[in-house]
Amino acid sequence: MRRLGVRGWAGLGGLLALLAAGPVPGQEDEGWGLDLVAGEVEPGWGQAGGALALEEPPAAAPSAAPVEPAARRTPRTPACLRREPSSAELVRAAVEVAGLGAGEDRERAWRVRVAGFLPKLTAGVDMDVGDRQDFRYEPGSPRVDQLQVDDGWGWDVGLSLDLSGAAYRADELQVAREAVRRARERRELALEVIRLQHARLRLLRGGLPTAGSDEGAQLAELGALLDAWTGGRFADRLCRPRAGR
Amino acid sequence: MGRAVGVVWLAGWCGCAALLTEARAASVAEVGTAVARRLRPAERCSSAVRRGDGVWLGCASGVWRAGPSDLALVLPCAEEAPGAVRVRPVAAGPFEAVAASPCGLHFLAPDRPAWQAPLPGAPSLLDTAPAGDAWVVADQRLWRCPPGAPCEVRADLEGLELEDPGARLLALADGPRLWIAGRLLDPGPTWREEPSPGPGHAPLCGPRGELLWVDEAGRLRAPGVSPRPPPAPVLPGGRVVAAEGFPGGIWLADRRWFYVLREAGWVRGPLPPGHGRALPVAGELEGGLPWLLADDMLHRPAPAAASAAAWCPAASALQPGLGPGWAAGDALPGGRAWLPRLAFGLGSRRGEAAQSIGGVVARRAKTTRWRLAVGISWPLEGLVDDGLEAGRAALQRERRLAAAERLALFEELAAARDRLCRAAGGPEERLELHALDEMLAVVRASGEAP
Repeated sequence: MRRLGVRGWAGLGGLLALLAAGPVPGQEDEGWGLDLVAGEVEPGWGQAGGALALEEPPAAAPSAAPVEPAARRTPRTPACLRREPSSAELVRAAVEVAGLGAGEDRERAWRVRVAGFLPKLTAGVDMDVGDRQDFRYEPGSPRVDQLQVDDGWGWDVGLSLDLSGAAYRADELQVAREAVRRARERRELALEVIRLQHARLRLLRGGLPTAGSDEGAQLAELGALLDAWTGGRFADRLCRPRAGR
Repeated sequence: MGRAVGVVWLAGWCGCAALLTEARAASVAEVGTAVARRLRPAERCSSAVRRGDGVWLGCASGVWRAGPSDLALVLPCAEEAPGAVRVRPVAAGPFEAVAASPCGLHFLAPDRPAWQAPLPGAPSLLDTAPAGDAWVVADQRLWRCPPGAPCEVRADLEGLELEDPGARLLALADGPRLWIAGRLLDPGPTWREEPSPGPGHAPLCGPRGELLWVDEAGRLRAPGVSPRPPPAPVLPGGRVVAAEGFPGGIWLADRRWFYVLREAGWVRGPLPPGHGRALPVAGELEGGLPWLLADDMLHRPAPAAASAAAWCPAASALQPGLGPGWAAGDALPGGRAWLPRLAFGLGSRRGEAAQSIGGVVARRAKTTRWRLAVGISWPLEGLVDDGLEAGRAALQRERRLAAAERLALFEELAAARDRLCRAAGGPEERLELHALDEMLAVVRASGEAP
């Protein structure tokens, strides 16, 4: 460390700053990727949420043009769309609420894999307690008593290693099967949330419906379903039907 | 006799079609489609029969009839399972169609009430013969139901797997057949299994009521026809997902295109936007082509339209992964049971020993001993039966199924995207495209955690 010097520290600081800043804009792996595995939202993905879909052709590709300015918005677009969460946010929340995060699967799989290589440790302490007495008689002689005492403490430490566990164990199979099921549930949940959100956006294309109308009832129902999936995290950000008939 | 006529007809047809289409795919004529009717509020319609201006529809909620400007629920039958209500055309007599549903077998006509055929149970499979009779499976028996007349039992179906979701009834010109669990059965006095041309083939009722077979690539085969098979259309969208014969032709569809084989050869058309399978509407044709039923909309044939402007950005070509390549035990296949258990031990003992004679300590000694142990053991029962092998096989099977399911879903969404991109891009389509792209991204990334 002493040899690092001023230049070394400066270089190290620069490297840390670079890591903290994240990837260079435009060089992300996949700008449109919904990384459910990592449970993270890629930067730039669906940040404009429903407003993007409604106000501008989404162009739907990583290389798509950015969102057009507000001047091109249609006048019927409800203002509440600006605060609507994006599909990626909704999906992430739904996955978290359901406890289906991919990170948990990864962690569980790693733990059970490592556990297969760990030995069983045994330890014990024992103590000898006992003596032996014997008596000897000889005619004309006094009795001779002999006493032999053995006392002592001992300890034992043992390691046992089941090499078959290094190949795989029953727990590992169970965790892997559970991961398959959870991945399927995660996908179905994400698709359901996206379907619900886009059904809402389709309804909102014609403006914010009133609570007494059919569209308003549909919007309220879809919003309630999204609340149920996401644990109500976006209850104050979702567009709701306005009062009136 | 019927089969012989059909075979001769097919052979001639094939020769003609071969000249037209075998050499180059470009010779396949193209047609288009146009929306004819929107079927809301009828939902999940899975079969339709067209007669004149009216279309009978078998939907999840019962039988509907779509007129030129109206849509009415004719026979309500609350059954949620799509496909549980099936309508087929009736070729002759006062009735236009027959519907089999959990509520019974009904012959339908627009100018009179539906006539319910007396059956002891709900019909499950239905098809109509060219002569006009309806063949029905109900109460574990095969029935023949002429329009307006009592049904008669034709065969006992005890012991057959009628719950097979892929079971179908084919009313061929020379008698009905049952397609159950991958076998085509002729319910004569003794059950006879029709030989299949090969694996992956499914039967269909040809244009003249003859038996044809189609494989996943769209190749048609008929028993007894010369070895040269009929030419297959080019299926750029993948494998055939729907195949039906109708009077005058054969209808195939993959997920992106439909193909119709007529006497003049194959024509193909783009499937309209949507997710679901597109099915031909039985009954009357328009310009020699059937109407389409897809995603609760009826589409009619139309001239091929010029390609819409490319408003869709190119889709990512990235396919979903097949899941983790690693499976437990891959590194040591079958060798797990031979791996021993090792044991290492280390111990120490310290103590005192004293000997006294006559109450006087004569000798006293202190002891210190170290112990080192190494052991190895084999559980011999594992050499005969490793109980985890079954679990490992089940895991691999689940992974294969999950990967296949994910790929199929991806393909379905990608096909829906392609179908959407062929239409003109309005705001509704752009929103739908956005949704599809999000779903594709989810499916692409929805594998197991690496």
